[in-house]
Amino acid sequence: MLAVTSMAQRLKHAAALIGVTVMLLPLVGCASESATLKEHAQKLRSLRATAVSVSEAWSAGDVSETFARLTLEQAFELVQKERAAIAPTAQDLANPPAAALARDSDDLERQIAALVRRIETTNAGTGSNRPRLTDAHASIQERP
Amino acid sequence: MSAIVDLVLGVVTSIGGFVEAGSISTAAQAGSEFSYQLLWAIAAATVMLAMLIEMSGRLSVVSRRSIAAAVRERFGIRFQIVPLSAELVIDLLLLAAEIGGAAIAVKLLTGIHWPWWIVPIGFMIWLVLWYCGFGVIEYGIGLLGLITLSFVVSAYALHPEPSTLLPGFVPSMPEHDSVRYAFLAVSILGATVSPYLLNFYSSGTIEEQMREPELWVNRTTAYLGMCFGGVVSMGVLVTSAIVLAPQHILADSYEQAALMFVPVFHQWSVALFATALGIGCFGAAVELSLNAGYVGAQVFGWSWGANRPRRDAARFSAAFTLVLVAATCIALIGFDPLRLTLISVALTVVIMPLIVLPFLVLMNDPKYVAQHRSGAIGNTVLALLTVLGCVLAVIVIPLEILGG
Amino acid sequence: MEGVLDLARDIEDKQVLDRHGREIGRVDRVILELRADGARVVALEVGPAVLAARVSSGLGRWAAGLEKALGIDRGRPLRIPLAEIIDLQPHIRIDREFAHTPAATVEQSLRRWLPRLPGAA
Repeated sequence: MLAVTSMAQRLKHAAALIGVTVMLLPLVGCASESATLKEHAQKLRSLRATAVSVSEAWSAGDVSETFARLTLEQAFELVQKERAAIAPTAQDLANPPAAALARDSDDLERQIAALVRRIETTNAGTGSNRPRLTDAHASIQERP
Repeated sequence: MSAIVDLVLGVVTSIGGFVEAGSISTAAQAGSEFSYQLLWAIAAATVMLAMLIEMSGRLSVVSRRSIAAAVRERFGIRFQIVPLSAELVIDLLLLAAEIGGAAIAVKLLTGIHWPWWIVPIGFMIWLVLWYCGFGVIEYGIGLLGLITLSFVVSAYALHPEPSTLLPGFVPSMPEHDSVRYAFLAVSILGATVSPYLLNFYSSGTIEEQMREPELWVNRTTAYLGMCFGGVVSMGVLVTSAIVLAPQHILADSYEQAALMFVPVFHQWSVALFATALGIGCFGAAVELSLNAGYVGAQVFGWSWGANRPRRDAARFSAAFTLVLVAATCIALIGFDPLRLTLISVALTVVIMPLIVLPFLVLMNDPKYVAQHRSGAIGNTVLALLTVLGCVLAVIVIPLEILGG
Repeated sequence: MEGVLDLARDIEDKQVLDRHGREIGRVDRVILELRADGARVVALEVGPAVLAARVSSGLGRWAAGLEKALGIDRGRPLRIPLAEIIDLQPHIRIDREFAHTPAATVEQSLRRWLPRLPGAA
């Protein structure tokens, strides 16, 4: 009798544990999902800052047109990769934070493309003759 | 006089040959993500490397055997086949990463996409190995590598605040991403204490015919050279911390890392960074390839030596050629060299216990080191390194997956 | 030769040199002859197939097959009778010329390629 009672108690405890685990799993999933989105946001921030930094360096004559263009093109490709990873499916895009991040990455792609175009079409000359891309930088700054 | 010249050359070439793809990428990432907080990791790894290098030099000078030969004789092939095979795989990946790093350096200078440079760089490495003797390889690469002192110049010119810099030499908990922090600390260790360096250095003392009366040269070169070399690595971290971190630029690519030189070197920044990266990676690739020849010849008992005519040591020459070809093929697959570097350094940590443990035995065996056995401090450090190595070997792969 | 030797420490895996000090290989196997009054070392063997067999018998068979396929199995493994051993320290020196050992076969084969490459001495 004692053994049966103790077995029943063990089963109850096991059921309770399973129930709590099942309830907590979505939260863990959400936590790791938000951690992943945070990582993507950090990468995008880094790529945005890279684009600003390299175009400022180009304007000041500190880097060549070749290097600036290559770095921006590479940043563009990396932003595309981040965009694909942020919301690969329609279901992911339905998540508001992911959707906002996806919009940010789309905007950043366009802004980097515009920077590349400006650098390529500007008559570069020497550093002192290169235009400052302040209007491009203003649009590329992070949204609060 | 000759010993003094050897010492100066040894220290200078140790400084010039210290940084390569692994140390540049890990230090740049550490600086851009955690500011000065990982300086302690570079300092600790450098001291460990200096101790292991000194021991490997002492072992080979006294026993007239390289590490690979001593391990084969002392432990037998059944033990050695495990670390040997693991080291071969890791050295292949690291060699491919170094070739890739050199190719990216050329891309930064020319604008031509980096995969086009893989085969020419691989061929140039082979030409150096084919035509140059040990002295030219060792001292030539080391002297050219002094360009990496530009990282130290940059760090100095940026005037880091001592009050914020010095606490970085004490391990502390990061404010964010502790898993990533731990991964980078372990990667810095793997990038600094590369197993190939130990056998390469020990083979070098035999190539240079260093004798017991010159053991003080070995000791001084190991400690001074490695410690000054570690300062170059710290230069990378500090520059990255001051320039990239405030802008939230993560050094996820060499192009992003190159931006660290802009505030100090202006129009010379990219050329200087690319040259430092290129020479560092090229030099490491030459050493890795040559070491593959050394290890093969020493383990299987073939003739070997960079100062020997290549005909007289045909199997040794074939070994380094085959490894170089294989690594070039891996590099041609197109993996991102920086990612490949981080994978290689993480795998280095996995096999570290198998590298350090034989030292513990050999450095206490009078048959190999005679009266120059490790003292209590040396043995304690080796024992601690073995235990630490075992712990890190277990956690590094989960860290790579979660924080890499 | 007189004295006590530890076969594992002092003989197996040791470097083998020819009479002029040229590297031949390493002792990959020690051959013992079992007698009523005990075992006696009769020869040392050098060869990659023998070495591979120490790691695993399958690997040994594969290595032997590879040697045969490449046509370099003649005279392998190199068997060194005790009588040919000149010295045991610091390495094992034997009374043979490197060029007259099968260990030279691969070196000579590779050397046929080397003259085609510029700079090979």
